[in-house]
Amino acid sequence: MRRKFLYLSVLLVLMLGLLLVPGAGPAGSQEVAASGLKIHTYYATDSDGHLMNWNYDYTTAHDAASAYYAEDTGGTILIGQFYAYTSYFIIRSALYFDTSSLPDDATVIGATLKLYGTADYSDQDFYILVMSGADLDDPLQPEDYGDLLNAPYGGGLLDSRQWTVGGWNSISLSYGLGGISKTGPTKFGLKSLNDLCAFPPSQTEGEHVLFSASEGGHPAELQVIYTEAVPPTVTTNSASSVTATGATLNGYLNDDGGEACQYRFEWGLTSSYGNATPWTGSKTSGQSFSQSISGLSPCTTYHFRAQCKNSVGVGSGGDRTFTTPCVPPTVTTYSASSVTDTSATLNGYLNDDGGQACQYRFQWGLTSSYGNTTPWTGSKTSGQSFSRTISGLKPGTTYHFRAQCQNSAGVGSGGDLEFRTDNGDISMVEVGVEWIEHYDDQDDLPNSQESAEGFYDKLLAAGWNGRFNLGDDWAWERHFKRDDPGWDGWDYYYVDAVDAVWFQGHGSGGQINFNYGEGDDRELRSLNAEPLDEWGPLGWQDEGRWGDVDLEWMFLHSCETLQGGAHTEKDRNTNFAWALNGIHLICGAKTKMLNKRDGEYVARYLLEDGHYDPARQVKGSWFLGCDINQPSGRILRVIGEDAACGADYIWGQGPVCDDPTVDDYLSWWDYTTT
Amino acid sequence: MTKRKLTAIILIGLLVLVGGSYPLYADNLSGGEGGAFEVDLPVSAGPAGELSFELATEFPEVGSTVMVYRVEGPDVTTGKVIEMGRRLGFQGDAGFIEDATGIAMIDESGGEMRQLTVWVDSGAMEYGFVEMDKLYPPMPPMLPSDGEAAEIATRFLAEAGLLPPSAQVSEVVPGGSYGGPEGTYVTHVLVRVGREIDGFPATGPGAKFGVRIGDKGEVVALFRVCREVEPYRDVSIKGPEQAYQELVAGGASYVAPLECRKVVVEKVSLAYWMEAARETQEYVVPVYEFKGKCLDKYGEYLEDFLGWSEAVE
Repeated sequence: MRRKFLYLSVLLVLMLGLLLVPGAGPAGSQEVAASGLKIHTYYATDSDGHLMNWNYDYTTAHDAASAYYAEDTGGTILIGQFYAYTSYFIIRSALYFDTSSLPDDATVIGATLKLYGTADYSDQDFYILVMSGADLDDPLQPEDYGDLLNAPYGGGLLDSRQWTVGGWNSISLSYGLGGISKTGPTKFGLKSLNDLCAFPPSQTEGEHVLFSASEGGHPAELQVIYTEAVPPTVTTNSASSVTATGATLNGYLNDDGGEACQYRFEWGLTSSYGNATPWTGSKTSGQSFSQSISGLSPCTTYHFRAQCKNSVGVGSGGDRTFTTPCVPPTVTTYSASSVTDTSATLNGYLNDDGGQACQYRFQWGLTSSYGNTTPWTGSKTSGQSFSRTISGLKPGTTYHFRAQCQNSAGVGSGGDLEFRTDNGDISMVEVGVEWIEHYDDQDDLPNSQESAEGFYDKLLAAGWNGRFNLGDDWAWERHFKRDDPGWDGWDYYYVDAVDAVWFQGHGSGGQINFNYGEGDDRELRSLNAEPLDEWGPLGWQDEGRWGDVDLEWMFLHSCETLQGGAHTEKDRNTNFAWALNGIHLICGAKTKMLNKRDGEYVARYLLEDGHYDPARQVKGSWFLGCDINQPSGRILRVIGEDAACGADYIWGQGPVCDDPTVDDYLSWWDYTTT
Repeated sequence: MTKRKLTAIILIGLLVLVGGSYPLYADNLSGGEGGAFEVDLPVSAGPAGELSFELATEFPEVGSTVMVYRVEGPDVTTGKVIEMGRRLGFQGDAGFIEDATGIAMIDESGGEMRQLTVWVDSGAMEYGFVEMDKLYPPMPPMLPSDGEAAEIATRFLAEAGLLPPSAQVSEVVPGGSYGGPEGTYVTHVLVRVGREIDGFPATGPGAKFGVRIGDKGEVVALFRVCREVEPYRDVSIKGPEQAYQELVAGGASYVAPLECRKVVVEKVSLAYWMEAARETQEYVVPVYEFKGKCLDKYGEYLEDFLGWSEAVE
């Protein structure tokens, strides 16, 4: 009973193996075909044969370590066991195939052993088993009898009832296929299941069959079914998570070609790609994969494709595209240029076009709410500047503006800036200069004329009108002196009748010196007498009253004219503070100045000279122009009625403050020469 | 004595005379082609004829000769200005300005217009923001300490390739101030960079090399006159005592306030005279430089005194 149970168990295991081993049945045959199914038939070598042993005791015959004899040259080969001549005969077979021609990367998925039947001597049904013959010698040795016995599994099973005599008998091998060697001989052993299970035949049973040996004309055949790895096949799927600067690329591994694959994506602006993600992962057939890329440009179409590779090669999916979304542009508003009394050129710069050529425009108006726009126009890309000229502006008015650009994603705006229109037509503005080179009672100043006329000529060349150019004894103190009753001054007709005046001559704290006249007529004083004193004893010290008619800017190229403490109240000791009577700025020096030819240089800074040389503000022009020739450590000073006028340009070059309201305070700026 | 002997004696005498006087003539030969090494010292600015002088220092030891230098170049081209501009972060091209006396660049990439100008005649350069708000901000700025300002200026110049080996920071002073009803404050500091030639300082209106530093340590302006020079030849110079006497006698150039009645000379030194930034200068010539204090009639300090006299005999 126990033996029968063992027999059935072994039989069940073998039959289950036939059904369950992957690739053994029709299922999956389509995949096998896609991966390159191949079949190769090998023929048993002529060293095949069988081992025979017999004994009156079945166990002795069955368990012997070696056979009574080994037959490897006969025309037929026997398998099975039977009882005859009071003995039990057990015959086990050996087959050798040279399968070394199998490719190294072949994966054996099945095999069929074919035996050409020559006789059937079985009275009882039995199963023929194909077993591993790895331990068999080649050629067969009697000692192999036990080795075969000790290799109790194989790959195939055949019911002797299906045994065909005079034809081929096929045994499908379903497992243990790893025993089929790719480098040397593949050895099989064949025995009966009863032999395997040590079931002795009855004394009337014949359980053996014969098949042709190699030498018998029909050598056993071994058909090996295997696959050989091929490049994988891949599908490129649509990109996902596409942003302005990144995307996720997706792919699908249809067939890994027989090996786990790495994957990557090629991508770029054309189907030639030019970029690739790194090879990564380990994917097999039917798996999806993805990788993210970044650093993309907005509003741009990209090509990409998925790729997988195994040891054989690279498989690529088809080309696909995605387009990154556009983003609104970023813009910088630049300062306005060419500002006149009624027009200005607004400037902007397109920092980033968001990936798409942009139109631009400007918003402008009296407040940062604007209210006016130029029409959308142009086609600008990153790094390009743009401008528009607007006209019909109001003279002397501050305007706000900002630059804007738009693409399909939206509008980008620069910051708010301001400009102020000129107050009027410079054809009406005038300049006057007075200079003294020769003094009867002081050192001569040989550069005064050249310096003053340098200033004068430069402004005239810029379109200004020259009102007076008076030197030495034609330069009079009363030209600068207030014309109020009792003061005997003519400033109404001279310095206060023009917009800018340059004086160059001797000076000292709170006064400038002339050579014409006698006594007080040689000195124009403005010593900060308090207002109540102007008609009293100190009145003679308060001779300057500038700006009540026209004068905006006075340049006093003299020593120490603005000497004194830097106070901000006019009743303190700041010289020429009370000369501020509507004038915007008085430029002078706190310390000594050398009598250099500074006039032309100051004028050059005041005036724009093309794109590379913009105009400077009045106080900056005074500082920078004098710094060229004056020695180190001189302190130049500019005083004004209020701080707003400190940003003045001269007429025609930029904003000019409104005439300030005269009060008890002033502002000042000091500059130490380099 | 025969006529022939007399002629020979006269010829020998003439040769001795010419040969003996030649070194003196050579020493006094001045100017590149025989002209004078003249220095255009400025007209004095001060109380002429009313000054007294007190020497509160010793005269320096100087040799009888000193080297005159010849100015190299300057070789100012738009390409070189663009190259300099790139080091300062400027974009775009350069162009001539003011009748081709200068080459300038404009940059607005930072949102505020900057200008770089290099003057053709001297190679002097001027850099800064066009608007004055950086030099005179409407609110009190956060200014660096003197030490920090010196470091900022040195780093800025070095990174821009504008700091020659012979130059180093000499002093940090207030560069600008503002006062108004809302308050009074220093608006920026001026870092002066001193330059020496053969161990003597540069002086004069062209001895200018300063970096102006504003709010939060930003470099807002630069004025640099730094002519390249090469040794030309030695010339004889007068002694410092003689130069001082010329100063006392009114034969020198100086700057002093009108109230100045007495000058205390605290330093007498040789220095090399540099013409102003827009002047062409062929030779760099030594002068005597006098530094000291101006005192009023009460002996109170008014301001520093600065004077020069020519040194070349």
